[in-house]
Parts: sequence; structure tokens; C-alpha cells
Amino acid sequence: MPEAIRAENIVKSFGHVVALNGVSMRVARGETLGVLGDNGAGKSTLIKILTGYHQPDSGQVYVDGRPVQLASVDAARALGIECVYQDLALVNGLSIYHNMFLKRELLWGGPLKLLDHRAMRRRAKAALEEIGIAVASVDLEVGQLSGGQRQAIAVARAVSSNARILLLDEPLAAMGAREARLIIDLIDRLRARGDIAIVMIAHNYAQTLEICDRVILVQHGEITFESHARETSAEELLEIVRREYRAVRAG
Amino acid sequence: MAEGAAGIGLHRRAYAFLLRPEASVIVVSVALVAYFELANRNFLSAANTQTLSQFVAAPVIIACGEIMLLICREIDLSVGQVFALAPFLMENVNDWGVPEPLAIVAALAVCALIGLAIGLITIGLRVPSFITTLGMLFLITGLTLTLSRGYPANTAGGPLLTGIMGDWAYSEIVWALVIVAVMHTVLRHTRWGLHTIAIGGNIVASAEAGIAINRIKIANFVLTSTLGGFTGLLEAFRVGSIDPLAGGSNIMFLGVASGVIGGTAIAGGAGTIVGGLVGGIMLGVLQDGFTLQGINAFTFDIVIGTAILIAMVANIHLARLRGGGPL
Amino acid sequence: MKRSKGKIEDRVGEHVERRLPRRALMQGVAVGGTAALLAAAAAERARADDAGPFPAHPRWKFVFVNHVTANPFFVPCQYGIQDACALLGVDYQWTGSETSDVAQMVNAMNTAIAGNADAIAVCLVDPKGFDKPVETALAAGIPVFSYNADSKTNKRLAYIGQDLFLSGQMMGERIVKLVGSGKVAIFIATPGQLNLQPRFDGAMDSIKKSGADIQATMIATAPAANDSLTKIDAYYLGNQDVKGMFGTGGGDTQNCGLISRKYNLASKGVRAGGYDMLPRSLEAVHDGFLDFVIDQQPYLQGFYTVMEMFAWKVSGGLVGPGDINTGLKFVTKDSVDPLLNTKTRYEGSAKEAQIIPRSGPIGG
Repeated sequence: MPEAIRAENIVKSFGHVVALNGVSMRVARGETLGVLGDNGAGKSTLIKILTGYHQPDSGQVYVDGRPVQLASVDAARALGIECVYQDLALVNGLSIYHNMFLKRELLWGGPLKLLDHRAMRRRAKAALEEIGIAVASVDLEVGQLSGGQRQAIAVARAVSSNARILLLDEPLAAMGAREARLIIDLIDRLRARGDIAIVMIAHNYAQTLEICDRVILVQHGEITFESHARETSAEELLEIVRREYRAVRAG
Repeated sequence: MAEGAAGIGLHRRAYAFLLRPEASVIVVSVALVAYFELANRNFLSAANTQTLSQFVAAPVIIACGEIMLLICREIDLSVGQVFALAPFLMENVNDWGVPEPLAIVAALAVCALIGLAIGLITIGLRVPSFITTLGMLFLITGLTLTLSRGYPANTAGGPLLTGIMGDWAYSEIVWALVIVAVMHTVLRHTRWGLHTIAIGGNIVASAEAGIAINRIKIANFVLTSTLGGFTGLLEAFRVGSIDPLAGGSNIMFLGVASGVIGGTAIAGGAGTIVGGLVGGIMLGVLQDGFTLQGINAFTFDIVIGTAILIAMVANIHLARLRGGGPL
Repeated sequence: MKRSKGKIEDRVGEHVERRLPRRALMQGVAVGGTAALLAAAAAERARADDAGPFPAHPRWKFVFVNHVTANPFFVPCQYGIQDACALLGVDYQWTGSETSDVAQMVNAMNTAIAGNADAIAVCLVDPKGFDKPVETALAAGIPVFSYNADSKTNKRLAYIGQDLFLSGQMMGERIVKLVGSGKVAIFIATPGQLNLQPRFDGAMDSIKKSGADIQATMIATAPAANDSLTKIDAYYLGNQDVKGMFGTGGGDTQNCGLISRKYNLASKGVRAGGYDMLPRSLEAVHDGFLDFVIDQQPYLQGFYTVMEMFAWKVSGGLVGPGDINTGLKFVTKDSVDPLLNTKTRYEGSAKEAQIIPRSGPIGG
């Protein structure tokens, strides 16, 4: 499978704190990568560098094999990199279609630049149907949806903006089994398309191994373990982490 | 705020209408008009409708700006002072020999700059807008007194200009309706309005989406100060006299009250320009109606205050019925 | 909600207005001599009628538009209005602005016109701002009077109040007599407004005409008494060589008295005085901290205005109207005692109606 995004030797510090200490990873088109690790390990920083929110102190990111400078979120977006944050970045008081088109609104009226509500509604509906998400109406306020539906809308927004590299920050956090099913099925459908690379930060080892093709484990800003999901298990990952705890407690 | 859903049957549409925040205010206003007309045949006379329109126009125009700010969780407490300053700015520039229309433009330009300053201080220096505009309130009061030397002045200009700018009995309300129409379009049909709502609803999400938060907020501050100055000019031309004591906190509160009564949440994230118009109408009906009834000045404030409280309580309860909407 | 006296609905629609016979009118009704009108009417027709000597008339509504509706100075004015209304069987409405906001007052006037008020009285605090509403009222057949403050260019039918410029001139003369020479501050709450500015102008006129070596400056304070106190205090601290501090309004005068008391200015030879008979001012006059206050009889400003309105309505506009000078009285240490010792409705310090007893010769 062709490579979608690759990071080499990413170093990033915030003041005295070294968040990433020479991290390298890669994801291929049609592949799903799970990024595991404790809080503060550096997972979020890695994602934020891939989305252009932060810039690395040193290291290089490659998209489709070509080196790129992700100087801003807009620059990353232009290359097809979209992120769904933990807080979902949805505005509760706005409708589904408004949220889906936030900052990419469709306009009409020439110089007047008026919002084209009709076109946005239509496209939002189509986008949701395409990835198999069912809602009663795209006019519903996002605040009125369930947790799973909101997550799905956030993902749909990213996908409908022609995302080729989709980054998901803890998509299944705080979700019950049934809601989680909704998202897992959605990710499966996206994977099946074969043209999107998905990077997913997660906490739940068992779930992640089920959903993803490969996993990496981030500890103290470094990648300490990498494997295909089929070739490892939750116990193995747990053991690595336990070893670290014991070492820390021993001082 | 969700748009009305297309394709729903008429009766469900009516139900949906009644649940809109503006609806409760419209209902209350219609009831008040009916009450005052029954109590005093003069209420719906031509003369009183004219007077009523003059009560309504100024707070409504101010509300159009304040609503935009409230939606994105800011406020401008100094708009009433800019209201008083603008006519003196116009008069001073006019005294230098600049023709009146240009003097008006110059005065409005200065008001816009004041709004810009408020925006830059609030955002750049990270001061809550409540505090920034509180300081501005005093600063601009002093500027007005200094510029005017405490003295009232006369308005100048030919009959066409003064007529358009407030002297003709209906000009103020026409301006108000035009501004309401424009701002309603801005809020519902442009990115400026949509992003204002987004910023008020979830500023983190807006930042992550790449919305130009600072630019939008500053634009709303500039808008409010300019509208405040414009309203001050209209009122000065209507009365024919420029007064350093005009406007002030009173008109600011009336503007904010019109917006809030009309359904704009004080907490931000949602709002309605048309609601500001309806809220302003309700306040105007109350003030005009009770004055017409002969209520004396002291009792007047008690009555108005009670009426506002009742209107707000009704509004909030209807909002809860709507199911955790704004407010 | 509390309604003003009487049912307003009576007034709506049909007005039953019967005119007095011309003979009564011709019996020498002097301009401003409303009392004469009442006496003449009473003598002419000894009709026992519960509407007094006048034939039955609707409870006319007289609207008073004021610039500082909550100001204590106008409390005796309102009592005067109430008493006259009770006497004549009419109603009044007290409205306007609390903060000298001309636009608010214009709104109140326009509402009164649209509501077909029977007569309107307004304090003309702005030279031009009321021209249009007054013209509109007159065109609609509503008589308009000004009280307490006047504008010569306005088309109002008559002014009831103090001759402000003249009172200022008299104050100026007294300032020259008291101070002689030196720096003098004259405080004004709302410069340019016609209830106060003419007093200052009159004082400056006298001071200049006298040729005395006095440097008088106008110091603007604030419409609210508390704020003006701080300002006058600050002024004194920055100008301790001042020889006289005078107010053009009730609040400023009271505050000059308070500052004089605070810094014991009388013993330092600093003179003070001003207008209106607020209680603190009278005390200051008694204790020597104010040399004088000028009374403008607010009770009469209300009372006589109602009389003029009534006379106009009752006579169909044939009687009067004429300006009424409610007088200018200097109150000094010699004459302050009876004012201090009584709390009466006519001074606004008490609500109950009373007859105030007095005896002895009437001094100058």
C-alpha cells in the first residue's frame, strides 16, 4: 500500500519539557494506525504536529513521500490532513450542516458572499448518507444529538472535506458499548474505501487492537513498541507498560 | 440557532414559530398594544404611532450592535457615551468648515476608531470587554464634556440632510428597520454572523476550525460603536439640539434590554436581531403606553421594571419548554 | 398600578366644555391675576356646585414635563400642583427625565400631545430642543406653558417662574457687595441649560458692570448633588485663595454651604451663597456658612401654572395667559429662622396640609 504520511525524528519541547524525543512513524493509504500510551506520553503532541497545530523543533514530515512544512492547520488541511479532536470542535448551538461546513461554507451572490444554506444542507445530507450515518434532519442542533452521533458528525465533517489522512484523538473515550459500535462500524467503512489513512489515539488496548491494522506505543516522548495488531496482544502491551511503572516506582 | 426546517406542515410550522424566542415577545407586545388601546383610544392614533416609533428606534439600532457582541460573549458598556460624543464630533468638524455630510462621515469614522480601540485593548491586552468598555465609558464622557465645554450646541444643515438624519418624524424608525434588515441578513446569511455565533458557542472549536476570532470580535466592536454614534446623530437631529448629557448608560441599557428581552442570551452563543426589534418595540410600547396613561414619573420606573421582569420570566420559561435552547 | 386621581377614561372622547358668560370675563381679569378670576367668578355666580364656582367640567389632564423629575427641589412644586388640582378638580401627570435628557423630555411631550393632554407645562432647559414639540402642541390646540426655565424664542404661551437673568444680576450685585475684590467661583450643574445658565450670565453681567476687581469663573459640577459636592471640595482644595463660592442651583448652593462648614471658610473671610432652600442650605445660612440663598418659590411655580392652565381651559383661551414672576427673595441670617423652624408642605419638607401661623409686622 502506498505511503500516506510519514514522520521522521520529530523532536518537540515546550519550555523545559521534552514532549517528543525523536519520534518516527508512518501510515499507509487504507491503513489504520493506533497510537497508544499514557497521558503525558506525547500522543497529543504528535497528532498536533501532524495536523499543523504545532511545528516540530526538528524532524521532517512527508506526505505521499514528499517532504512538507505543516506551518498551520490550513496548510495541513490543504494537503488533505484532517483532525477530529477530543472535544469534537462542534458548536452545540449550530445545526449539523452548519457544523459540517464551518469555515468552509458554501456561498452565493457574488460579491455579497451570502451563505448558501440550501446547497450546504444538500451536501451535508449526501455526505452523511455516503458514510452511512443516519440522522433525522441536518437542521437539528448538534447539541441535541447523542455522544456517538456527535462524534460521527465530527468524523463526517473531516471526511467530507476530502480528508486523505484522518487523525482521530480518542474517538471512543467516554462512550458506552453501543455508541462505540457506531463509530467502530464507521471506521471500518472508511477503511474499506481504501483511500484514507487513519491515525487513532486511544486508551483501550483491546478495542484498538480490534479496530487498527498496526499499533505503536508512546512512552516519555519515544516510541517504545511497534507491531501489527494481529501479532501482538493486549497482555503484551500491558506488560511493557507495567515494566515501566515498576521501574519508576523503584526510582 | 437552527433554521426553520423546510417541508414541515403548516400547523407544525406554527408550533415551531411559537417556540422561537421572538414569538413570546411578539405575543406579549400584541397583548400590551391591545391593553393600551383599550385603556386609551389615543394609543393607536397617527400621532402616537409616530411618538411610539421615536421611543423604539434608538434602542433598537443600539441593540443591533450589542446583540452581535453578546452572541460572541462580549459587551460594550460605553456605547451610550459614544452616542453623546458623535454629534459634538460632527459639530466640531463642521465648524472647521467641512460641509455637514462629510462632517457626519468624519464623526462616524472616529466612532469606528473608538470601537477598534476597544477591540484591540480587549483582545490584545486580554482585558474582559466589560472592564474595557467600563473604562471607556468614563473616558468618553470626559472627552464629550471637554469637546463641548459642557455646553449644548445646535445642529446644522439643510432641510434634506436633517430630514434624512432624524428630523423627519419617521426617519429614525426607517433607519432602524433598514439596519435591522441588514443585520439580520448578516447574522443569518453571512460568515460574519455564523462565525460570531460559533465563537460564542464554542471558542475552542472555532479556533480549531480556523475561524478568525480576533477579526470577528473587533468587527463587532467597531460595528457597535459606529451604530452608537449614528444613533446619537439621529437623536440630535430629531431634537434639534446637541446635548452633552444625552444618551449615556440609559440608552445602553435600553439597547441591551431590547436584545435580551427579544431572546438574545446574556451568556452568549445565540441571538436574534429581529428579537432585538421586537424587544425594543415592547419596551417602547411600555414606556409610551404608561406615559399616555398618565403614570407619574416615580411610579413609572416601578411599572417598567416590573413589566421587564415579567417579560423576561415568560421568555425564559418558554425557552425551557423549547428544551434547553439558548438562555 | 397606582393611577393619578380620578378616572382618565372620563376625559376620553367627549369633552363637555361650557363657556363662562362673557360678562364675567370682562370683569377686569388682570394678566396673571388668576385669583381675581376665581373671586370674580365666585361673586358673579353664587351657585352651590360641588365643582366649586365653575360649571361642571371634565377632569382635565395637565401634563408637567420636568428635567429632573426626582430632584427634591421640585417636591414643593409637585405639592403646589397637587393642591391646585385638588382645588380645581383636575388631574396632573408628572413626567419627563431624571437626568436632564432633552430627548427623553421631548418624547414625553410628544406622548402627551398624542394623548390629547388638555395642557402641557415644560421646563424649557434647552434653547431650541422644544421648539418643534411646542409648535406641534399649539397646532393641535393644546396650550403650552413653561415653568422654572424659559426660552425667549420658544412659542410657549407664558412662563411661570423666576426671572432667571434678573435673579442672577441681583446675586451678582450681592457678590460685589460681599466680596469686594478677588477670586470668585460660580458653580453650575449643567452649563448651557436654561434653568441655570441665565443666572450665571446675570451674575457676570452685574459683576462686570460694577467695575469691581473680581475674577469670577464658571465651574461646572454635576446634575447630581453628591457628585457636585466632591467637585466643589476638590475645587476649594486647589484654590484656597478663593474669596467667594456661589451656586446657581439648589445642589451646588447646598454643597458650598457644606464645604464652607467643613473648612470653616466663613472665619477665613470666604463668602458663599446661592439658590434654593434645601434644608442643609438653610442651616448653613443660620450658622453663618452661607451669606444668603435666593428663593424662587417652587410651590408657586406648580400652583400658579395649574391656575393659568385652568383659566385658559375654562375661558376657551380668552383669558390670559401672562408671564408670572414667582419672585426672588433673598433669605439671610435675619430671615432664615421661621423657615428653619417649620416643616411645611409649601417648602416641600412635610406632606400634611397646614396653615402656618404668623404674627407681628412684616419686615423687609
